[in-house]
Amino acid sequence: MRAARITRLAALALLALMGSGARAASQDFSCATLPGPAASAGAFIEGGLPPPGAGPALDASYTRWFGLPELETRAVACGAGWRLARVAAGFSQTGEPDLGWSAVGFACGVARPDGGAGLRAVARRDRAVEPGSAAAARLEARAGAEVGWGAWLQAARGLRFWAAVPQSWSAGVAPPLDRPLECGGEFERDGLTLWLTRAAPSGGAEADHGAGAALRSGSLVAWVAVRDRPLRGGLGLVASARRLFVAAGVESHPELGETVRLSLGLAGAVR
Amino acid sequence: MTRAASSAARAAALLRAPGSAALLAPGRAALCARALVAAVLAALLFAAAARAQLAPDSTGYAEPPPEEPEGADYEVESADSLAEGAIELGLGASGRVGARPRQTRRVRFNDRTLGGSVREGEGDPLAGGSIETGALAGRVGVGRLAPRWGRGLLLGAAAEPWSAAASDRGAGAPFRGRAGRGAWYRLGEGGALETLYGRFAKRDLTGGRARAGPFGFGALADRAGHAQASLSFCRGRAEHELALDRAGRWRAEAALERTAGPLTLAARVRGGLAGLRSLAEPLRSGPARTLALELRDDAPWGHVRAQAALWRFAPGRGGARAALEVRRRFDQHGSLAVGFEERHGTHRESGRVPGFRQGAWGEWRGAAAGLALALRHEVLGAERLGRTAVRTVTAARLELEGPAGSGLRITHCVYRVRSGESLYLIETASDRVILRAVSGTGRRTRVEVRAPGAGGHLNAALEVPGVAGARSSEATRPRWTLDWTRRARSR
Repeated sequence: MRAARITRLAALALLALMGSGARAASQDFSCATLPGPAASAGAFIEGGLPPPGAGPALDASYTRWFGLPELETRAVACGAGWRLARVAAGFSQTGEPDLGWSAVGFACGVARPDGGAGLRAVARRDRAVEPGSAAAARLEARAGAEVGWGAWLQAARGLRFWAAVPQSWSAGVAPPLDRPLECGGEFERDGLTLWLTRAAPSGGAEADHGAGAALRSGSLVAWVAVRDRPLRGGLGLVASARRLFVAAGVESHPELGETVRLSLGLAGAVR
Repeated sequence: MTRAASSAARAAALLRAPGSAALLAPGRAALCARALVAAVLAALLFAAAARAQLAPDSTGYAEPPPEEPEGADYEVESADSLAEGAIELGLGASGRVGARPRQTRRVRFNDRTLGGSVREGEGDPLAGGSIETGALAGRVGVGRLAPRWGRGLLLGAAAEPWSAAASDRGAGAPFRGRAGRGAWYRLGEGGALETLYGRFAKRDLTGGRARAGPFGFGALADRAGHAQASLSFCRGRAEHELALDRAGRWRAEAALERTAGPLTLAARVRGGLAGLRSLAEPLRSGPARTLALELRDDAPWGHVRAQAALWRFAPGRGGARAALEVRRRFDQHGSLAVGFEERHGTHRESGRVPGFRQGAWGEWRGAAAGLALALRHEVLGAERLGRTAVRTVTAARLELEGPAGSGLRITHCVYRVRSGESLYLIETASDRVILRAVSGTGRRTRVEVRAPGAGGHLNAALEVPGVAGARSSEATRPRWTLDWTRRARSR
């Protein structure tokens, strides 16, 4: 059991290393879509940024972190909207049964075509709890929760800014990733989208910066992104037909390997 | 460009004004050159850029006044006015989770002849009262005293060497500061004759001031026989003051402001002896010598403000500052602002000397129907271009408007402050503004809710500090505030 715990800790440390540079330091409901507010329900839960559209959404995501089969995240999420109100809920599992964890997430908010704000909450629980251990005796030793918020606003035609604070408050077991405030902005014109993001320093580290570009052609969106600390890049593709979308993204890390994300779902205008 | 060249020439002429040479002790020539360059650059910017409006809550780097201890929270009363015939009641409580709460109560009223306020609460730094009424053909009052005479050489000095006027002294200031406690009497329109008796800086003082046309003469004395006098002249936008004491020590300050269309140039020169310290506010005496310039450009699209200042408290202790702020307005609520600031030496009369500091900040604000979002980032470094950062702050603020005057505001900031430095985060409560001192590395989320209730308005705030996963401690315990305010007509 001690070896399993050490392995788990190592996995979490690795994930934390990755998280400092992953897209929006995403975690349990990571999606292969562009940063910022998206129609995907998982993205809403992940960052607290409600989608502009009010249509129903259902999506499933799969993420393999750094090519490690023992670090896979599988998530399903659904969302709905009525007038200004938006809600989403989801479930995810990360890792293997003996050292992974399960998470449920919920998000709610209000949104208009030119802005929105949302609240998100995620609760996690270890999948395997050894009988007689401290985790078995105390809930706060085997489970944790975090609450955060996000907001976005259209500053001008084609120009949008957002702020996401996924972990304003947390309790119990510390989240696998420390996700500080992330601010971002994007500019879209004639099918070309450019974006910049900045994640505030986490602990003693420096701030993370990211940049990317996406090109839309019909129902296809192709994107590339770069991040610093260490410098690395990624690319992805989003294809949609009617309300169905498929998204895939690969991010390469110079030391830790490649992270692959796949998403499939039903939503409105997915980017 | 003609206007720019003219502005630059005026700035350069003011820098070369008599008295400024005395400021330029050996080793200060480089500072002067930088200030001159900053002024010229600012003037060129005015020519190239357009016009704007400075948001009243533009902050830059917020700091408490010099009489307050560094690194401690500072609270100051907001100077919102009360309509005639109105009475305001307020009840409040605040504290940390797991600690004993602090309760506050306040009453304010304003009638035709009688006005005043009373605040009480254990540990409330703003506790106390003041009352004023009409008497003897004038107005008489008892309680808090925060007067301002002339340029403030004796009473009501600005908190910072580069500030033209105190924000918490005198009538019309946006905050009600506390220089002392006592009684005052004012006769005539605008205070042609003014007397006061009170306790300032652990000293009982008696003083009086008379004004005749543009001239004003005032004197202050304490029980030990110390006395100071002030002679001032104020006409239009020009204001000058000469202050001296019985030992012959003196200080003089001249402030001028000229407007040409949307462009305003303000200049301030102070000279004198370091030995003259205000009897009433010795910790706010400020530098003995100062040269300050400010250029403002107000235009429909935004606002530009440039400042340059040199000062010296005493030989070997002085400083300089240059700052530039440009704010571009997009619509009624949206704006983008960027600012730059460089400091040398120290702006405090005692304590450590921070030395060189250079920093910049940027802020974006936008709003849609019922929703507002603001993002801000600032960095201050000990080397050029903000390198070797001594403090870095990133903040996001969300505001949602609800029905019947209700609303929600969430502010989150992430900060990193180097050991020995202080950072003050601004909190606005219903009756006060708090500069919350923080240090080290951390985050803070502040949630504020306002709603109508019990015939008044209820404001609640919850502040969650700390980092996810951090161990619980006194500093990471949530802090909360509850406040209820009701205004009514007394007749």
